[in-house]
Amino acid sequence: MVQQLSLFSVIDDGSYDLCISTLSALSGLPPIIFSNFSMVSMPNQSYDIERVNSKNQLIEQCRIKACCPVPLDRLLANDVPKDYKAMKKLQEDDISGFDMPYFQNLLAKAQDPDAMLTDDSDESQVSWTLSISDIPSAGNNRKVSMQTITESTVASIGGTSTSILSFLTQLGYVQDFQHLTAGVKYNMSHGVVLELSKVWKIHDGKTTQITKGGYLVKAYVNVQKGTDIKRINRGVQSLCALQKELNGYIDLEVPDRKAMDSRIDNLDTL
Amino acid sequence: MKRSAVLFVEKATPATITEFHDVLSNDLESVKEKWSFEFKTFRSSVKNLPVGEPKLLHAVTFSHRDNQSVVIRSKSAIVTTAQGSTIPDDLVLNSCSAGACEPFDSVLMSKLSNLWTLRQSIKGDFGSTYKTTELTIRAANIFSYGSFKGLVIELECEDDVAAEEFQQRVDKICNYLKDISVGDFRTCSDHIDPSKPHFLCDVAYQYIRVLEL
Repeated sequence: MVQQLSLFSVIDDGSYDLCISTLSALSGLPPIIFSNFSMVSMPNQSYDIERVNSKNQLIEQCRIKACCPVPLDRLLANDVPKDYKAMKKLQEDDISGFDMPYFQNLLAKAQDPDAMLTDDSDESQVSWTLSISDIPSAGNNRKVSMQTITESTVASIGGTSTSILSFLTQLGYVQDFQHLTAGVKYNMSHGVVLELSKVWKIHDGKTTQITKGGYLVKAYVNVQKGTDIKRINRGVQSLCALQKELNGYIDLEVPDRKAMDSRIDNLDTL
Repeated sequence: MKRSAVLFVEKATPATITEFHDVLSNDLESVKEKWSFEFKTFRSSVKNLPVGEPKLLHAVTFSHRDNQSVVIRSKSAIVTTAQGSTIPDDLVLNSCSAGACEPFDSVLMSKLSNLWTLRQSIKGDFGSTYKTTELTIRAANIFSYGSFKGLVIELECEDDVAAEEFQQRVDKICNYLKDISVGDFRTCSDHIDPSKPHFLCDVAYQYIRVLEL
């Protein structure tokens, strides 16, 4: 169970270049480009699922997020250099080099050998992270958002259908929505990670950008143990220091905890 | 291709494992490290589960294979890792993983315990590993909540041999077991899906087939 401490903000498309140079100067490191694909699933609503377990403890029904890395050449045309400037090509709903069949294959069936993420010819070797996020901790005077994330790493998939979706179906979960994230990130001092990203919703084979006109800014610290108060406090301090440093330029704020709730009863906010 | 088979001797006594070691001793190349495994059975808590759908889900954790766990329900299986150091780099670099991971069976017992209830936990602790020229043989006495349940033998063949050749090697071990007259035992060397062999999922599938009545 990871404790994720985070602060959020936004910048507009026009300030991207300046922001990159500012952050590169601040962190002393070049930006790292990243992208991932998430499939969020929810408990099958045709099942009659109790809210309590056999020990009579209340268990909320949460969504499960399955997330896997996306090679950049599935998003960008081949002639685009794969550095931070490539993000500027990704400002519209449509993604130039978007490889839809690849994403459909990721979920639905075993992958064709050309679409492999690794050189390994074993087709079940795409790894996934399955995670369940709790609602962030409550409290009026929190300096940062604090969320517990339970995650498991799927190293490989076996059986008659080597897709993550078929396993989740067996588990009692059905697909809810899919999204794609691409952006750059910086490893700042004291374990703080700062991400600038764009998010697309994938629906019916089409991509719709949720972050149109800007970038989502997320600063976070992952603390591996929820009981590690010392590290949590240090993480809060580091995030607040960064917030102070960027104050007036990027205003990092505590997000609305309801917007980060993954429970299925919370349908209206999603 | 690596091949495997799992045997379960239900009528064994705790001393059977020593007898088994004795009959093997002529073939032994070396005695290797100790090993253990854990086998958990979960039952669906869904009340209106469609008729004909399997009610059970299994999780098998192997200490001798980097503590990886295999979770299986009706021929669909995933392998999850248990150590932070074994998370693939591309998951961390692409912000998919927050750097900590739990075996999926513990997620089932915490976050998904309203959907899946732990029904049984079988453990084989401190088992022995024997190496012969043909096979790696792992034997362990298994216990369910402290009571002795029998003897499990896992056979692994790393040589690239044909199915028939492997079967002969397995039969040889079965004959040894008959020699020490342990009574009936179950054996399984099937693949979860014959068209797509996946070593670890196949081993877990074989455990389920022999341990689940």
